[in-house]
Amino acid sequence: MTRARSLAQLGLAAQAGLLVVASLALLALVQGGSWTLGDLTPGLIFASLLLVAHSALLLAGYGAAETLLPLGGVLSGIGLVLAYRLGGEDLGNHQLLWIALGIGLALALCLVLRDAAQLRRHKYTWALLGLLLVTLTFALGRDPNQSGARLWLGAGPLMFQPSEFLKVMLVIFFAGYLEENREIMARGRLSLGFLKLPPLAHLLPLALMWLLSMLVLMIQRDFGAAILFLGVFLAMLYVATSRVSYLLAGSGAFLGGALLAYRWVGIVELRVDAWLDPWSRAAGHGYQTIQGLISLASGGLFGSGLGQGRPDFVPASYTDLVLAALGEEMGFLGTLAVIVIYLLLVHRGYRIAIAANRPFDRLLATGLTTVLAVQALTIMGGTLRLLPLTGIPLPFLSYGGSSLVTNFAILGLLLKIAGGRGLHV
Amino acid sequence: MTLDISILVLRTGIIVFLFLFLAQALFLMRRDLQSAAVRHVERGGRLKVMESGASNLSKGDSLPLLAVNSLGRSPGNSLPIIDDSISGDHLLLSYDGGVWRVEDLGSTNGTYLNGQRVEKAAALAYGDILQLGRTKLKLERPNLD
Repeated sequence: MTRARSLAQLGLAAQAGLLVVASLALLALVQGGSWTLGDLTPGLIFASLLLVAHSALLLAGYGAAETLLPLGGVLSGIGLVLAYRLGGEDLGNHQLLWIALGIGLALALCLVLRDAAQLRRHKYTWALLGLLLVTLTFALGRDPNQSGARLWLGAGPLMFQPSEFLKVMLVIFFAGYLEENREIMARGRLSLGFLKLPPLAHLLPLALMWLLSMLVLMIQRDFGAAILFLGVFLAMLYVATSRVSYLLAGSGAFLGGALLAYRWVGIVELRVDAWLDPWSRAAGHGYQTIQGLISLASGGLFGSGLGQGRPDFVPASYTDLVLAALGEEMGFLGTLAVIVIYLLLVHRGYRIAIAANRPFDRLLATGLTTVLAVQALTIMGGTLRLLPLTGIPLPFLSYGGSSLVTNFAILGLLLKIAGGRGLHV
Repeated sequence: MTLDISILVLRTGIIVFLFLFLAQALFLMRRDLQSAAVRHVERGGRLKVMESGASNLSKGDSLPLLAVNSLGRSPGNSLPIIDDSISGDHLLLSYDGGVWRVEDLGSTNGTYLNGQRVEKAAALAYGDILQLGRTKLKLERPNLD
């Protein structure tokens, strides 16, 4: 690696940091008429965190960190600015703390973990731990922001959302399970017309997974998580077996289940109705969608400018509907840039999956990337009223500790799979 | 007045900066794609799938070959073919000094070259048909693009 190339690599992370500092300066100018060093401190802390992590990863030989870390970094940086903008100093400081923890975790995964395949040995432990956490939320879950879904564990300021961690744990389990069984699953014995399905015993995991997503949907009323779990599972199943019949069977079963849920589960019906016709429910369940749409529309091409719009009209604009706030203040151009960044991030993730040599690594990278992609699509679609609105955080951008830490862990694992020397060689 | 101007400059600057960032990321990734493309250019040939049996391959697929290729059912092969009629480690197909050679690795159902069973190893030419289990593959010249 030439020196010029290394400098260029660090440049991307440095620019992500600079972007945050400049945005904080703009916020201070708009809100107070002048800026002080104190206003910029969070940006400087963020920039140094990112730069230190980036140089450490590049020094350890993680070539993929070149674009992956700055892409995740710039998204979390914009998220940080929006947390300060929308939630004030407290929320912003929390977000900075979570970003620091997330970057630390990504770094630790890369440098301490010997090999991503190490995770495979404990796949059942991961799955059990994840399910245990979720069972706990069934029993002890709390709903601190009255969203209608009890998804949090913990008390006071120490709240976390186990379903966030479950995403990664389940992907690890799927990758291990599918690697062991993909031959049998790919074979196809049971013929149902044009569908070639594997022997019944091997359909069991698919059925179990479908059941789990339905349970999450019915009991926890978390439509977004249900789509995510099943979507990620089907994507990985497809990569493992290259059988389209699984995709068809799985999506069909999900649609059927979703129709039942629409009939029998109140909140699902409300969400879907509010999606089809929010305007007649503008004061009720369509309120959030409509405020989000108005907010987005008022941004226009260039946006009102950071700190100069009124995204506070959108309920909970700093968490799930952060895209509306972004669209209002940074306009279509800013939103477009963010969407392209997601695209590049997901592209990079799938490239890592394609380049991976071992089936487990390939499946793991596919699953982790799909987690990011499905989340971004579901919530952006929900904000734009292309899909029913579901409570899923926008990866890296939304305020929320569990989600941020999980997303950085995903980055760390992807980097690990892409390869580097680590501390062990 | 100066406040308004500095706000405007910062606002515009941030958006421009964001797109510059994107352009650089794209540039870096394009280079990565190009270098990956160079690595995957095949030298010696391709295998065209003539018949796929019940395997994961589809008829008409054209599979790029490396200098040494292992074909078989187990996932560790460079060209895994998932089908009951194929052994875990079925055959080796290698290109050395301008000649393609196939070597049967003691497979249960055997390897056939143009319909003749390959006892241990055999040389093959472009256009030859290789059969393992229910799968038939034709050796073709590499794409030279």
